[in-house]
Amino acid sequence: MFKFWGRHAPLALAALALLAAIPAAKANAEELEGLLEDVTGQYARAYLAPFTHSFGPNLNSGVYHTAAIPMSRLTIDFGVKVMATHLAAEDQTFQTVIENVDLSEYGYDVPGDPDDLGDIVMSGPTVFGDTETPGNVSGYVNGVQVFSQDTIEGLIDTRYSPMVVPQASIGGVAGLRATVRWLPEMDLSDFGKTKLFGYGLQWSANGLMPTLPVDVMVGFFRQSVDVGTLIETDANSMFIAASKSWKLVTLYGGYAKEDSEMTIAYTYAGNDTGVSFTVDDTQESRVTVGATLNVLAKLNLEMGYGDLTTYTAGLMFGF
Amino acid sequence: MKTMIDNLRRRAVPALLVPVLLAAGLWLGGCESDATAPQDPAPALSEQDAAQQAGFAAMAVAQVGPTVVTFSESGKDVYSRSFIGVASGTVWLDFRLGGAGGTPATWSVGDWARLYTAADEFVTVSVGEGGAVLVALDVTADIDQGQDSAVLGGGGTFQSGVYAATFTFDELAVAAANDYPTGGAMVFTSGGYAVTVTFNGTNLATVAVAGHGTWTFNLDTGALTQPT
Repeated sequence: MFKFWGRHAPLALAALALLAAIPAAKANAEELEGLLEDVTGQYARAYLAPFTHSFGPNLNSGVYHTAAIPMSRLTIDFGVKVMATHLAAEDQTFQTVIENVDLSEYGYDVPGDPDDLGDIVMSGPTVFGDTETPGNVSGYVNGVQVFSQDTIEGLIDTRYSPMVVPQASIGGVAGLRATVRWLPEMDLSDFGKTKLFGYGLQWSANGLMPTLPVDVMVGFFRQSVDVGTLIETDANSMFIAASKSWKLVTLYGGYAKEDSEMTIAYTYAGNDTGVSFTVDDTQESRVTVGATLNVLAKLNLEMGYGDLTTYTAGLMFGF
Repeated sequence: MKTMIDNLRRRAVPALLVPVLLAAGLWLGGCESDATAPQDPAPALSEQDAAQQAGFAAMAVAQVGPTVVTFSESGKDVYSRSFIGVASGTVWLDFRLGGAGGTPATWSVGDWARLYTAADEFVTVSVGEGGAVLVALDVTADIDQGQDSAVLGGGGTFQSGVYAATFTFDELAVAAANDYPTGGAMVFTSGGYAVTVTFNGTNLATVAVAGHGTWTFNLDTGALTQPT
Protein backbone atom coordinates (compact mmCIF):
# COMPACT_ATOMS: atom_id res chain seq x y z
CA MET A 1 0.00 0.00 0.00
CA PHE A 2 1.51 3.33 -1.10
CA LYS A 3 1.29 5.89 1.65
CA PHE A 4 1.99 9.35 0.34
CA TRP A 5 3.28 10.65 3.65
CA GLY A 6 5.03 7.41 4.56
CA ARG A 7 8.51 6.37 3.59
CA HIS A 8 7.86 7.44 -0.02
CA ALA A 9 7.22 11.03 0.96
CA PRO A 10 10.73 12.28 0.05
CA LEU A 11 10.46 10.66 -3.38
CA ALA A 12 7.06 12.24 -3.94
CA LEU A 13 8.35 15.63 -2.82
CA ALA A 14 11.31 15.38 -5.17
CA ALA A 15 9.01 14.52 -8.07
CA LEU A 16 6.72 17.39 -7.18
CA ALA A 17 9.64 19.81 -7.02
CA LEU A 18 10.74 18.75 -10.49
CA LEU A 19 7.23 18.91 -11.92
CA ALA A 20 6.75 22.36 -10.42
CA ALA A 21 10.07 23.54 -11.79
CA ILE A 22 9.36 22.62 -15.42
CA PRO A 23 6.35 24.90 -16.05
CA ALA A 24 8.02 27.67 -14.02
CA ALA A 25 11.10 27.39 -16.20
CA LYS A 26 8.95 27.41 -19.32
CA ALA A 27 7.06 30.51 -18.16
CA ASN A 28 10.29 32.32 -17.32
CA ALA A 29 11.84 31.37 -20.66
CA GLU A 30 8.79 32.62 -22.55
CA GLU A 31 8.78 35.86 -20.58
CA LEU A 32 12.51 36.25 -21.16
CA GLU A 33 12.11 35.82 -24.91
CA GLY A 34 9.32 38.40 -24.81
CA LEU A 35 11.65 40.86 -23.07
CA LEU A 36 14.60 40.23 -25.36
CA GLU A 37 12.53 40.93 -28.46
CA ASP A 38 12.59 44.59 -27.44
CA VAL A 39 16.37 44.97 -27.25
CA THR A 40 19.38 44.64 -29.54
CA GLY A 41 21.94 41.87 -29.31
CA GLN A 42 24.46 44.15 -27.59
CA TYR A 43 21.95 45.00 -24.91
CA ALA A 44 20.88 41.38 -24.51
CA ARG A 45 24.47 40.19 -24.11
CA ALA A 46 25.01 42.53 -21.15
CA TYR A 47 21.50 42.06 -19.72
CA LEU A 48 21.89 38.28 -19.71
CA ALA A 49 25.53 38.18 -18.52
CA PRO A 50 24.79 36.84 -15.00
CA PHE A 51 22.56 34.17 -16.51
CA THR A 52 24.85 33.13 -19.34
CA HIS A 53 27.84 32.98 -16.98
CA SER A 54 26.08 31.06 -14.22
CA PHE A 55 24.20 28.52 -16.31
CA GLY A 56 27.33 26.46 -17.02
CA PRO A 57 28.59 26.44 -13.42
CA ASN A 58 25.10 25.38 -12.35
CA LEU A 59 25.06 22.53 -14.86
CA ASN A 60 28.51 21.38 -13.80
CA SER A 61 27.43 21.17 -10.15
CA GLY A 62 26.18 18.19 -8.22
CA VAL A 63 27.47 15.52 -10.61
CA TYR A 64 28.62 13.39 -7.67
CA HIS A 65 27.95 13.12 -3.97
CA THR A 66 30.46 10.45 -3.02
CA ALA A 67 33.69 9.09 -4.44
CA ALA A 68 32.89 5.58 -3.29
CA ILE A 69 32.20 3.17 -6.16
CA PRO A 70 32.06 -0.57 -5.38
CA MET A 71 34.19 -2.88 -7.50
CA SER A 72 31.52 -5.53 -7.86
CA ARG A 73 28.28 -4.57 -6.19
CA LEU A 74 25.52 -2.97 -8.22
CA THR A 75 24.42 0.48 -7.04
CA ILE A 76 21.56 2.51 -8.45
CA ASP A 77 20.32 5.91 -7.41
CA PHE A 78 18.05 8.52 -8.88
CA GLY A 79 16.61 11.84 -7.77
CA VAL A 80 16.81 15.57 -8.15
CA LYS A 81 19.63 18.11 -7.89
CA VAL A 82 18.89 21.75 -7.17
CA MET A 83 21.65 24.28 -7.84
CA ALA A 84 21.96 28.00 -7.33
CA THR A 85 24.89 30.23 -8.18
CA HIS A 86 25.28 33.13 -5.75
CA LEU A 87 25.79 36.21 -7.86
CA ALA A 88 27.85 39.27 -6.97
CA ALA A 89 25.71 42.23 -5.93
CA GLU A 90 26.98 44.18 -8.94
CA ASP A 91 25.44 41.59 -11.23
CA GLN A 92 21.97 42.99 -10.64
CA THR A 93 22.80 45.98 -12.83
CA PHE A 94 24.97 46.62 -15.85
CA GLN A 95 26.36 49.45 -17.91
CA THR A 96 27.90 48.88 -21.29
CA VAL A 97 29.32 51.58 -23.56
CA ILE A 98 29.83 51.69 -27.31
CA GLU A 99 31.97 54.64 -28.39
CA ASN A 100 32.14 56.40 -31.76
CA VAL A 101 29.13 54.65 -33.21
CA ASP A 102 26.87 55.81 -36.03
CA LEU A 103 23.88 57.12 -34.08
CA SER A 104 21.66 57.01 -37.17
CA GLU A 105 21.59 53.25 -36.61
CA TYR A 106 19.71 54.10 -33.43
CA GLY A 107 17.39 56.48 -35.24
CA TYR A 108 19.20 59.74 -34.43
CA ASP A 109 20.84 62.05 -36.97
CA VAL A 110 23.50 64.34 -35.50
CA PRO A 111 23.01 67.91 -36.78
CA GLY A 112 26.03 69.06 -38.77
CA ASP A 113 27.78 65.69 -38.74
CA PRO A 114 27.34 63.54 -41.85
CA ASP A 115 28.88 60.58 -39.97
CA ASP A 116 26.37 60.95 -37.11
CA LEU A 117 29.06 59.90 -34.64
CA GLY A 118 28.36 59.64 -30.94
CA ASP A 119 28.46 57.28 -27.99
CA ILE A 120 25.87 54.81 -26.76
CA VAL A 121 25.41 53.95 -23.09
CA MET A 122 23.19 50.99 -22.24
CA SER A 123 22.39 50.51 -18.58
CA GLY A 124 19.80 49.14 -16.20
CA PRO A 125 18.83 45.99 -14.35
CA THR A 126 20.13 42.65 -15.54
CA VAL A 127 17.88 39.64 -15.96
CA PHE A 128 18.31 39.12 -12.18
CA GLY A 129 17.78 42.80 -11.35
CA ASP A 130 14.92 45.11 -10.37
CA THR A 131 11.69 43.98 -12.01
CA GLU A 132 10.05 47.40 -11.64
CA THR A 133 12.73 49.71 -13.07
CA PRO A 134 13.31 49.73 -16.83
CA GLY A 135 16.74 49.87 -18.37
CA ASN A 136 17.85 52.66 -20.67
CA VAL A 137 19.65 53.24 -23.93
CA SER A 138 21.01 56.76 -24.34
CA GLY A 139 22.96 58.44 -27.10
CA TYR A 140 25.58 61.10 -26.39
CA VAL A 141 27.12 63.75 -28.61
CA ASN A 142 29.86 65.94 -27.15
CA GLY A 143 29.16 64.75 -23.63
CA VAL A 144 25.46 65.62 -23.75
CA GLN A 145 22.59 63.15 -23.85
CA VAL A 146 20.78 63.57 -27.17
CA PHE A 147 18.31 60.72 -26.93
CA SER A 148 17.06 58.44 -24.24
CA GLN A 149 14.86 55.38 -24.50
CA ASP A 150 13.57 53.13 -21.76
CA THR A 151 14.04 49.42 -22.33
CA ILE A 152 13.25 46.33 -20.28
CA GLU A 153 13.01 45.47 -16.60
CA GLY A 154 14.67 42.57 -14.82
CA LEU A 155 13.00 39.17 -15.04
CA ILE A 156 13.55 37.93 -11.47
CA ASP A 157 14.91 40.08 -8.66
CA THR A 158 17.36 37.71 -7.01
CA ARG A 159 21.06 37.15 -6.36
CA TYR A 160 20.71 33.42 -6.93
CA SER A 161 20.67 31.92 -10.41
CA PRO A 162 18.74 28.67 -9.90
CA MET A 163 18.41 25.34 -11.71
CA VAL A 164 16.75 21.95 -11.12
CA VAL A 165 17.77 18.76 -12.91
CA PRO A 166 16.83 15.08 -12.54
CA GLN A 167 19.78 12.70 -12.22
CA ALA A 168 20.34 8.93 -12.11
CA SER A 169 23.40 6.76 -11.68
CA ILE A 170 24.23 3.08 -12.02
CA GLY A 171 27.56 1.67 -10.93
CA GLY A 172 29.48 -1.04 -9.19
CA VAL A 173 31.05 -2.89 -12.11
CA ALA A 174 34.85 -2.74 -12.23
CA GLY A 175 34.77 0.45 -10.16
CA LEU A 176 32.78 2.32 -12.77
CA ARG A 177 29.68 4.43 -12.34
CA ALA A 178 27.62 5.98 -15.15
CA THR A 179 25.50 9.05 -14.51
CA VAL A 180 22.82 10.58 -16.69
CA ARG A 181 20.66 13.68 -16.56
CA TRP A 182 17.70 13.57 -18.86
CA LEU A 183 14.34 15.14 -19.51
CA PRO A 184 12.07 13.95 -22.29
CA GLU A 185 11.91 16.31 -25.24
CA MET A 186 8.91 18.54 -24.66
CA ASP A 187 7.23 20.49 -27.41
CA LEU A 188 6.22 23.83 -25.91
CA SER A 189 3.92 24.91 -28.75
CA ASP A 190 5.23 28.03 -30.53
CA PHE A 191 8.16 28.26 -28.12
CA GLY A 192 9.86 25.20 -29.58
CA LYS A 193 11.26 22.08 -27.99
CA THR A 194 13.00 21.89 -24.67
CA LYS A 195 15.37 19.10 -23.78
CA LEU A 196 18.12 18.15 -21.37
CA PHE A 197 20.63 15.38 -21.77
CA GLY A 198 23.84 14.76 -19.91
CA TYR A 199 26.04 11.77 -19.34
CA GLY A 200 29.23 10.98 -17.52
CA LEU A 201 31.42 8.24 -16.24
CA GLN A 202 33.31 7.93 -12.96
CA TRP A 203 36.05 5.44 -12.10
CA SER A 204 37.25 4.48 -8.65
CA ALA A 205 41.01 4.45 -8.11
CA ASN A 206 40.68 2.37 -4.95
CA GLY A 207 40.90 -0.84 -6.96
CA LEU A 208 44.47 0.08 -7.83
CA MET A 209 45.25 1.56 -4.43
CA PRO A 210 43.21 -0.43 -1.90
CA THR A 211 45.10 0.92 1.10
CA LEU A 212 44.00 4.51 0.58
CA PRO A 213 42.27 5.85 3.71
CA VAL A 214 39.61 7.57 1.59
CA ASP A 215 37.67 6.77 -1.55
CA VAL A 216 39.06 8.40 -4.67
CA MET A 217 37.60 8.62 -8.14
CA VAL A 218 38.00 10.51 -11.39
CA GLY A 219 35.35 11.23 -13.95
CA PHE A 220 33.82 13.43 -16.59
CA PHE A 221 30.37 14.78 -17.39
CA ARG A 222 28.98 16.28 -20.60
CA GLN A 223 25.62 18.02 -20.87
CA SER A 224 23.45 19.72 -23.42
CA VAL A 225 20.38 21.85 -22.69
CA ASP A 226 18.02 23.43 -25.22
CA VAL A 227 15.30 25.77 -24.01
CA GLY A 228 13.04 26.19 -26.98
CA THR A 229 14.72 28.06 -29.79
CA LEU A 230 16.02 30.66 -27.33
CA ILE A 231 18.88 28.92 -25.54
CA GLU A 232 21.35 26.21 -26.45
CA THR A 233 23.95 25.24 -23.88
CA ASP A 234 26.79 22.74 -23.70
CA ALA A 235 28.76 22.08 -20.53
CA ASN A 236 31.70 19.80 -19.81
CA SER A 237 33.47 18.86 -16.61
CA MET A 238 36.43 16.63 -15.72
CA PHE A 239 37.02 16.03 -12.05
CA ILE A 240 38.87 14.20 -9.34
CA ALA A 241 37.15 13.64 -6.01
CA ALA A 242 37.68 11.99 -2.64
CA SER A 243 35.27 11.06 0.09
CA LYS A 244 35.12 9.48 3.52
CA SER A 245 32.01 7.65 4.59
CA TRP A 246 30.55 6.86 7.98
CA LYS A 247 27.30 5.12 8.61
CA LEU A 248 25.12 8.20 8.34
CA VAL A 249 27.36 10.74 6.68
CA THR A 250 29.73 10.98 3.74
CA LEU A 251 32.05 13.94 3.44
CA TYR A 252 33.42 14.64 -0.01
CA GLY A 253 35.45 17.13 -1.94
CA GLY A 254 36.92 17.49 -5.37
CA TYR A 255 38.56 19.59 -8.00
CA ALA A 256 37.21 20.03 -11.52
CA LYS A 257 38.27 21.58 -14.79
CA GLU A 258 35.21 22.71 -16.67
CA ASP A 259 33.88 24.78 -19.52
CA SER A 260 30.56 25.70 -21.02
CA GLU A 261 29.08 27.84 -23.74
CA MET A 262 25.62 29.23 -24.33
CA THR A 263 24.04 30.43 -27.55
CA ILE A 264 21.12 32.84 -27.40
CA ALA A 265 18.90 33.35 -30.46
CA TYR A 266 15.79 35.47 -30.86
CA THR A 267 14.17 37.98 -33.18
CA TYR A 268 14.67 41.68 -32.43
CA ALA A 269 11.28 43.29 -32.99
CA GLY A 270 12.87 46.72 -33.64
CA ASN A 271 13.87 45.74 -37.17
CA ASP A 272 12.54 42.18 -37.31
CA THR A 273 16.00 40.66 -37.68
CA GLY A 274 17.43 37.58 -36.06
CA VAL A 275 19.87 38.04 -33.19
CA SER A 276 22.28 35.29 -32.20
CA PHE A 277 25.35 35.32 -30.02
CA THR A 278 27.45 32.79 -28.14
CA VAL A 279 28.99 33.33 -24.72
CA ASP A 280 31.83 31.20 -23.38
CA ASP A 281 31.73 30.78 -19.64
CA THR A 282 34.65 32.33 -17.78
CA GLN A 283 34.80 29.69 -15.03
CA GLU A 284 37.47 27.11 -15.87
CA SER A 285 37.89 25.27 -12.58
CA ARG A 286 36.28 24.76 -9.20
CA VAL A 287 36.83 23.24 -5.78
CA THR A 288 33.88 21.35 -4.32
CA VAL A 289 33.16 20.45 -0.70
CA GLY A 290 30.04 18.68 0.41
CA ALA A 291 28.32 16.27 2.73
CA THR A 292 25.80 13.52 2.10
CA LEU A 293 23.41 12.42 4.80
CA ASN A 294 22.28 8.80 4.42
CA VAL A 295 18.92 8.50 6.14
CA LEU A 296 16.30 6.67 4.07
CA ALA A 297 17.43 8.71 1.09
CA LYS A 298 20.70 10.47 0.31
CA LEU A 299 20.46 14.18 1.02
CA ASN A 300 23.57 16.05 -0.04
CA LEU A 301 24.62 19.66 0.31
CA GLU A 302 27.70 21.05 -1.39
CA MET A 303 29.43 24.24 -2.33
CA GLY A 304 31.43 24.73 -5.49
CA TYR A 305 33.92 27.55 -5.42
CA GLY A 306 35.48 28.90 -8.63
CA ASP A 307 35.03 32.25 -10.29
CA LEU A 308 31.46 31.85 -9.11
CA THR A 309 30.14 30.26 -5.93
CA THR A 310 27.50 27.61 -6.51
CA TYR A 311 25.43 25.82 -3.88
CA THR A 312 23.84 22.46 -4.61
CA ALA A 313 21.33 20.29 -2.77
CA GLY A 314 20.42 16.81 -3.91
CA LEU A 315 17.85 14.23 -2.91
CA MET A 316 18.70 10.79 -4.26
CA PHE A 317 17.07 7.42 -3.74
CA GLY A 318 18.38 3.95 -4.40
CA PHE A 319 20.73 1.36 -3.06
CA MET B 1 23.93 0.03 27.83
CA LYS B 2 27.62 0.20 26.90
CA THR B 3 26.78 -0.89 23.37
CA MET B 4 24.21 1.87 23.09
CA ILE B 5 26.74 4.49 24.27
CA ASP B 6 29.36 3.19 21.83
CA ASN B 7 26.83 3.41 19.00
CA LEU B 8 25.97 6.95 19.95
CA ARG B 9 29.65 7.89 20.03
CA ARG B 10 30.24 6.33 16.62
CA ARG B 11 27.34 8.28 15.16
CA ALA B 12 28.05 11.46 17.03
CA VAL B 13 31.42 12.04 15.36
CA PRO B 14 30.13 12.13 11.77
CA ALA B 15 26.98 13.92 12.88
CA LEU B 16 29.12 16.66 14.45
CA LEU B 17 31.13 16.89 11.25
CA VAL B 18 28.05 17.99 9.32
CA PRO B 19 27.71 21.37 11.03
CA VAL B 20 31.49 21.78 10.91
CA LEU B 21 31.43 21.23 7.16
CA LEU B 22 28.46 23.53 6.73
CA ALA B 23 30.26 26.18 8.76
CA ALA B 24 33.29 25.74 6.50
CA GLY B 25 30.98 26.12 3.53
CA LEU B 26 29.51 29.28 4.93
CA TRP B 27 33.00 30.62 5.56
CA LEU B 28 33.96 29.84 2.01
CA GLY B 29 30.64 31.31 0.98
CA GLY B 30 32.01 34.60 2.15
CA CYS B 31 34.17 34.37 -0.94
CA GLU B 32 31.92 36.36 -3.26
CA SER B 33 31.36 35.35 -6.83
CA ASP B 34 33.15 37.45 -9.39
CA ALA B 35 30.95 40.00 -11.16
CA THR B 36 29.98 38.97 -14.67
CA ALA B 37 27.83 41.85 -15.90
CA PRO B 38 29.71 44.71 -17.64
CA GLN B 39 30.18 47.88 -15.61
CA ASP B 40 31.76 50.19 -18.19
CA PRO B 41 32.60 53.74 -17.13
CA ALA B 42 30.98 56.60 -19.02
CA PRO B 43 32.88 57.61 -22.17
CA ALA B 44 35.75 59.95 -21.32
CA LEU B 45 35.10 63.61 -22.04
CA SER B 46 37.16 65.66 -24.45
CA GLU B 47 37.75 69.37 -23.92
CA GLN B 48 35.11 70.09 -26.56
CA ASP B 49 32.65 67.86 -24.69
CA ALA B 50 33.27 69.84 -21.50
CA ALA B 51 32.77 73.10 -23.43
CA GLN B 52 29.48 71.81 -24.85
CA GLN B 53 28.24 70.80 -21.41
CA ALA B 54 29.16 74.18 -19.96
CA GLY B 55 27.31 75.86 -22.82
CA PHE B 56 24.08 74.01 -22.08
CA ALA B 57 24.34 74.86 -18.39
CA ALA B 58 24.85 78.51 -19.39
CA MET B 59 21.77 78.27 -21.60
CA ALA B 60 19.63 77.38 -18.57
CA VAL B 61 21.25 80.07 -16.43
CA ALA B 62 20.76 82.73 -19.10
CA GLN B 63 17.04 82.04 -19.18
CA VAL B 64 16.43 81.60 -15.47
CA GLY B 65 18.98 83.95 -13.86
CA PRO B 66 17.33 87.29 -14.78
CA THR B 67 14.23 86.18 -12.85
CA VAL B 68 15.67 87.79 -9.70
CA VAL B 69 15.06 91.19 -11.31
CA THR B 70 12.18 90.44 -13.69
CA PHE B 71 9.95 88.70 -11.15
CA SER B 72 6.73 90.55 -10.34
CA GLU B 73 3.76 88.90 -8.77
CA SER B 74 1.59 90.47 -6.12
CA GLY B 75 -0.45 88.94 -3.37
CA LYS B 76 1.75 85.95 -2.53
CA ASP B 77 4.09 85.14 0.34
CA VAL B 78 5.93 82.37 -1.48
CA TYR B 79 7.38 83.15 -4.86
CA SER B 80 8.03 80.70 -7.66
CA ARG B 81 8.22 80.88 -11.41
CA SER B 82 7.78 78.13 -13.95
CA PHE B 83 9.47 78.17 -17.33
CA ILE B 84 8.49 76.56 -20.59
CA GLY B 85 10.75 76.95 -23.58
CA VAL B 86 14.43 76.37 -24.23
CA ALA B 87 14.62 75.57 -20.55
CA SER B 88 11.67 74.32 -18.53
CA GLY B 89 11.10 73.83 -14.85
CA THR B 90 10.30 75.74 -11.71
CA VAL B 91 12.51 77.94 -9.56
CA TRP B 92 11.75 79.37 -6.12
CA LEU B 93 12.68 82.84 -4.87
CA ASP B 94 13.33 84.13 -1.36
CA PHE B 95 13.70 87.95 -1.23
CA ARG B 96 15.33 89.74 1.71
CA LEU B 97 15.83 93.32 2.74
CA GLY B 98 19.20 94.16 4.28
CA GLY B 99 21.29 91.55 2.55
CA ALA B 100 21.53 87.80 3.03
CA GLY B 101 20.78 88.00 6.76
CA GLY B 102 18.02 90.53 6.32
CA THR B 103 14.31 90.30 6.94
CA PRO B 104 11.96 88.61 4.47
CA ALA B 105 10.79 91.06 1.84
CA THR B 106 8.63 91.26 -1.23
CA TRP B 107 10.10 91.10 -4.72
CA SER B 108 9.52 94.81 -5.20
CA VAL B 109 11.71 95.97 -2.29
CA GLY B 110 14.18 93.16 -1.66
CA ASP B 111 17.86 93.94 -2.10
CA TRP B 112 18.97 90.35 -1.90
CA ALA B 113 17.44 87.12 -3.19
CA ARG B 114 18.03 83.42 -3.25
CA LEU B 115 16.87 81.64 -6.42
CA TYR B 116 16.85 77.87 -6.23
CA THR B 117 15.36 74.67 -7.55
CA ALA B 118 13.61 72.37 -5.06
CA ALA B 119 15.33 69.18 -3.92
CA ASP B 120 15.40 66.58 -6.73
CA GLU B 121 13.89 69.07 -9.17
CA PHE B 122 15.68 70.62 -12.11
CA VAL B 123 15.57 73.18 -14.85
CA THR B 124 15.59 71.00 -17.94
CA VAL B 125 17.07 71.86 -21.32
CA SER B 126 15.71 69.45 -23.93
CA VAL B 127 18.33 68.20 -26.38
CA GLY B 128 17.88 66.16 -29.53
CA GLU B 129 15.11 63.56 -29.36
CA GLY B 130 14.44 62.79 -25.73
CA GLY B 131 17.87 63.83 -24.49
CA ALA B 132 18.12 66.28 -21.62
CA VAL B 133 20.38 68.49 -19.57
CA LEU B 134 19.24 68.82 -15.97
CA VAL B 135 20.40 71.86 -14.05
CA ALA B 136 19.88 72.37 -10.33
CA LEU B 137 20.45 75.90 -9.09
CA ASP B 138 21.19 77.58 -5.79
CA VAL B 139 21.86 81.19 -6.69
CA THR B 140 22.31 84.27 -4.52
CA ALA B 141 21.73 87.74 -5.93
CA ASP B 142 22.61 91.25 -4.78
CA ILE B 143 19.81 93.33 -6.29
CA ASP B 144 19.90 96.96 -7.33
CA GLN B 145 16.20 97.84 -7.44
CA GLY B 146 16.91 101.27 -8.91
CA GLN B 147 18.73 99.86 -11.92
CA ASP B 148 16.63 96.68 -12.13
CA SER B 149 19.84 94.69 -12.18
CA ALA B 150 21.61 92.17 -9.99
CA VAL B 151 24.93 90.41 -9.52
CA LEU B 152 24.69 86.66 -9.04
CA GLY B 153 26.76 84.32 -6.90
CA GLY B 154 26.31 80.72 -5.79
CA GLY B 155 26.13 77.96 -8.35
CA GLY B 156 24.56 74.66 -9.18
CA THR B 157 24.91 71.19 -10.64
CA PHE B 158 24.71 69.81 -14.15
CA GLN B 159 23.52 66.35 -15.11
CA SER B 160 23.05 64.79 -18.52
CA GLY B 161 22.52 61.03 -18.41
CA VAL B 162 25.72 59.49 -17.07
CA TYR B 163 27.56 62.81 -16.79
CA ALA B 164 27.53 65.15 -13.81
CA ALA B 165 29.31 68.45 -13.17
CA THR B 166 29.25 71.50 -10.91
CA PHE B 167 29.46 75.21 -11.57
CA THR B 168 29.76 78.51 -9.71
CA PHE B 169 29.18 82.12 -10.69
CA ASP B 170 31.75 84.85 -10.68
CA GLU B 171 29.87 88.16 -10.43
CA LEU B 172 27.40 87.20 -13.12
CA ALA B 173 25.47 90.36 -14.03
CA VAL B 174 21.84 90.33 -15.13
CA ALA B 175 19.48 93.20 -15.94
CA ALA B 176 15.74 93.41 -16.55
CA ALA B 177 16.37 95.32 -19.76
CA ASN B 178 18.52 92.60 -21.29
CA ASP B 179 17.59 89.07 -22.38
CA TYR B 180 21.06 87.73 -21.65
CA PRO B 181 23.54 88.15 -18.79
CA THR B 182 25.42 91.35 -19.37
CA GLY B 183 28.73 90.40 -17.80
CA GLY B 184 30.61 88.19 -15.41
CA ALA B 185 31.30 84.49 -15.77
CA MET B 186 30.29 80.97 -14.89
CA VAL B 187 33.06 78.53 -13.89
CA PHE B 188 32.14 74.96 -14.85
CA THR B 189 34.07 71.85 -13.77
CA SER B 190 33.58 68.53 -15.58
CA GLY B 191 35.75 65.53 -16.41
CA GLY B 192 38.84 67.22 -15.01
CA TYR B 193 38.37 70.29 -17.20
CA ALA B 194 37.89 73.84 -15.87
CA VAL B 195 35.64 75.77 -18.23
CA THR B 196 34.88 79.49 -17.98
CA VAL B 197 31.80 80.83 -19.74
CA THR B 198 31.89 84.60 -20.16
CA PHE B 199 28.72 86.58 -20.95
CA ASN B 200 28.51 89.90 -22.84
CA GLY B 201 24.83 90.76 -23.09
CA THR B 202 24.33 88.98 -26.42
CA ASN B 203 23.29 85.45 -27.28
CA LEU B 204 26.92 84.50 -27.94
CA ALA B 205 28.92 83.48 -24.89
CA THR B 206 32.63 82.74 -24.87
CA VAL B 207 33.58 79.30 -23.58
CA ALA B 208 37.21 78.85 -22.59
CA VAL B 209 38.61 75.47 -21.50
CA ALA B 210 41.72 76.09 -19.43
CA GLY B 211 44.78 75.07 -21.40
CA HIS B 212 42.79 73.78 -24.37
CA GLY B 213 41.21 76.61 -26.35
CA THR B 214 38.17 78.81 -26.71
CA TRP B 215 34.77 78.24 -28.32
CA THR B 216 31.69 80.36 -28.94
CA PHE B 217 28.35 79.07 -27.68
CA ASN B 218 25.00 80.26 -28.99
CA LEU B 219 22.66 80.60 -26.02
CA ASP B 220 19.59 80.34 -28.29
CA THR B 221 20.47 77.33 -30.44
CA GLY B 222 22.99 75.41 -28.36
CA ALA B 223 25.52 75.45 -31.19
CA LEU B 224 29.21 75.33 -30.23
CA THR B 225 31.53 76.69 -32.90
CA GLN B 226 35.12 75.72 -33.56
CA PRO B 227 38.01 77.05 -31.47
CA THR B 228 39.33 80.41 -32.41
